[in-house]
Amino acid sequence: MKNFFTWLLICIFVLSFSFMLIGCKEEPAPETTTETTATEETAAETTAEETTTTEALTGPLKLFTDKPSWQTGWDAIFAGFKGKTGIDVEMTGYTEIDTYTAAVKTGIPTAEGPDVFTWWSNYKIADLAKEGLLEDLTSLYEPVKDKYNPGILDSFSYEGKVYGAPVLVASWLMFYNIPVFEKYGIKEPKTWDEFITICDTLKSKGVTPIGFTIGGGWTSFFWFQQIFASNYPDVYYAICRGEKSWNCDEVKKTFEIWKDMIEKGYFTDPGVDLGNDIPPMFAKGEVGMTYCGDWYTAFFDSVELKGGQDYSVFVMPSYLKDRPKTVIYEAGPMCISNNAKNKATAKAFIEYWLSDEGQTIWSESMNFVSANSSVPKDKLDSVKQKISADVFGDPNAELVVRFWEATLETITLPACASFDKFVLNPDSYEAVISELDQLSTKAWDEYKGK
Amino acid sequence: MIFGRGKFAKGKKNYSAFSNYLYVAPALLMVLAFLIAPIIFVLYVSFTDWDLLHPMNFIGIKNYIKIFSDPNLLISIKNTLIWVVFILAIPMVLGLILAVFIKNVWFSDQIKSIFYIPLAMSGAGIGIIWYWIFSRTGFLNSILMFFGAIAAPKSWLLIIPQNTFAMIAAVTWQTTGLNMILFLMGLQNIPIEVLEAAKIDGSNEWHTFTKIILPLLKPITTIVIILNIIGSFKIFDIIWVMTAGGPARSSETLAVSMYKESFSLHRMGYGSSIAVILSLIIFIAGIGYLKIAAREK
Repeated sequence: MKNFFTWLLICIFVLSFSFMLIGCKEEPAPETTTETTATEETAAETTAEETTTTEALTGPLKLFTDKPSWQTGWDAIFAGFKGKTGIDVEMTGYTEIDTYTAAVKTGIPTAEGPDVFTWWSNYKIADLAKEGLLEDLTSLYEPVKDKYNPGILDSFSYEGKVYGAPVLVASWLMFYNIPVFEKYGIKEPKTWDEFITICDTLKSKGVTPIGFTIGGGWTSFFWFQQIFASNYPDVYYAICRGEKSWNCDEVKKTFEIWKDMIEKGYFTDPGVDLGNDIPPMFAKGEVGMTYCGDWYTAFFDSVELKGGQDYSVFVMPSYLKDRPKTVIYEAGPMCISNNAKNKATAKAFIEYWLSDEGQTIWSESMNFVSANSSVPKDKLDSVKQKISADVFGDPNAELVVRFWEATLETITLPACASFDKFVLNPDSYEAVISELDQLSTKAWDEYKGK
Repeated sequence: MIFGRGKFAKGKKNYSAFSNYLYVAPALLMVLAFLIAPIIFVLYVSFTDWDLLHPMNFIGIKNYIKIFSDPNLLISIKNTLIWVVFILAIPMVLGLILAVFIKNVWFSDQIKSIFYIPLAMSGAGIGIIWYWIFSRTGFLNSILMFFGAIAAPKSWLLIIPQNTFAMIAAVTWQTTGLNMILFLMGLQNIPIEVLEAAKIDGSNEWHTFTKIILPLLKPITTIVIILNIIGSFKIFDIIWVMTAGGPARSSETLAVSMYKESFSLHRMGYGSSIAVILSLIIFIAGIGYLKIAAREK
């Protein structure tokens, strides 16, 4: 009897193990075109003809993003794409940036990673392109290239090829509290001196002029970036590219201006929370202004503040009087993995994304200013329309890339730790500059060595 | 269970041994795949400069040398030691005091339940609660301002080193209950005859506690110490939620630095070397715990 059980157990084990091995065997990706209904097949064929590729479209398309909260926009664009091709898009959202970047970096060298994914511009996209991990999208821009700002496309380029399609193009502006400004008879400033007068007025009335935080570990670069890049854009780029030392007069002057503002009490306590504290303080009239990317409107929405009624924006004037209007911007791209399992579908998706139809859906559902100049602006709220006119519609406005993307990934986060030290102890700025210089030198040496 | 007895064991010893191995093979495969293989992989990565994007280059013990020369890691090591000292000093002593006081009271079960509740909560949840207490608009500032102790709210989690002590307070709240229960178990195992003999001999409460109870609690105290050392070395969740190691990396411990170097800065090689050092410390403490626990049995 015991022998019987022994053999029975062995058989069960061998069978289980065999099933385990069979289960682990990679299944070929289902070809959606062969499983879809007749209508969907026709739609897929039509799109295949429209796309620059003649390869069969397979699905579902796998999309990774660190912006799952933009569900309204994703749903709308996925529905539009499905209507065109009959192919579903499966989105995997990550709310934690570190997990997201690790998932993408380990996923895209294989076919098991995402087909398309959201990423960051400039050095961050270049890091992936340099390793041959991204599909070249230059040809997809051919039919629409006149509709996209070349400067923005430069942010997604590496060695002359474009690797990203714009998901977000946000400008960094000063949000101001309309009721507070009206109450004290304040108007939008045109010069630095006018801006400082506003800060002094608000301070004298018991209102904290500017909402600012170092909480979260990544926000302390905001004011360094604004003062430095708007006054010395060439030096800013040279430093960000590792071509110049941080130990220079322009950096020193930037810290001195910032230090002066901190010491005059223009900023909130740096421990406030960007999303949870500043918008309510703004709503209560405790804070007069706050500087951020235009995506910050979502935080104002959360406390039911209305654009154009409760808050509006202005472009920060430069400290130096002879500088033209300068606006920091960030551009977030969507990329295709070079190892994508559904590469033809991914290309069709990006082609749809870049089209007037795709961009209109995205812009209207997200209330985002589209990078495509053909997309109508009349459906945007009044603040976004103002941004569109003041920033993207002004041919004299100089756009400068945000610090987060303008330099190496190995510099940005550690640099924020150094800026934190400065904010907590403004007298330490010379030591902080030296620390930043050492950090930059080391990071660039490592980068060039790879 | 005894394997391989009966006909197979008598006639076919080798075959019987093979079938025995087959019984443990599924579990062994799991352990190999999910425990041993990752350990070997992390050990290997710790000798490389892997950054997730570029191929791994073998760089010898450079990562290990860097740990002891990197100013951020030196702060991290210092903070870890502060954590160990204070976690041993506060929740452990509090646990012992509570255990002694509630041992003979009729409502000890209720007290035990109350102090045990925080242990059932997740670290992240506790981090959020205590973040709210210490935040600028939180409970502590409200109380202090109500009593006029401060004029304006303070960002306690940005003040160095108060932020570390704020997080130690959160962990104290979570772990005191467990320490109390372990000490209660120890107290209940002390023979009543010994305590009665001391009383007859004229020993007062303090002498009984210091000269009899504490020495008899030594085995359980050692276990509590080792558990707390292991806990303070691997503390991550509460710190990550409350300060994320900031500001300016001032409140990082080794576990937080390991995560930050690996997943925020993508220095997987360097992060792995921190993980190896941390694992070794916890492994040594764990061995100590197991030896003492075995001796206790």
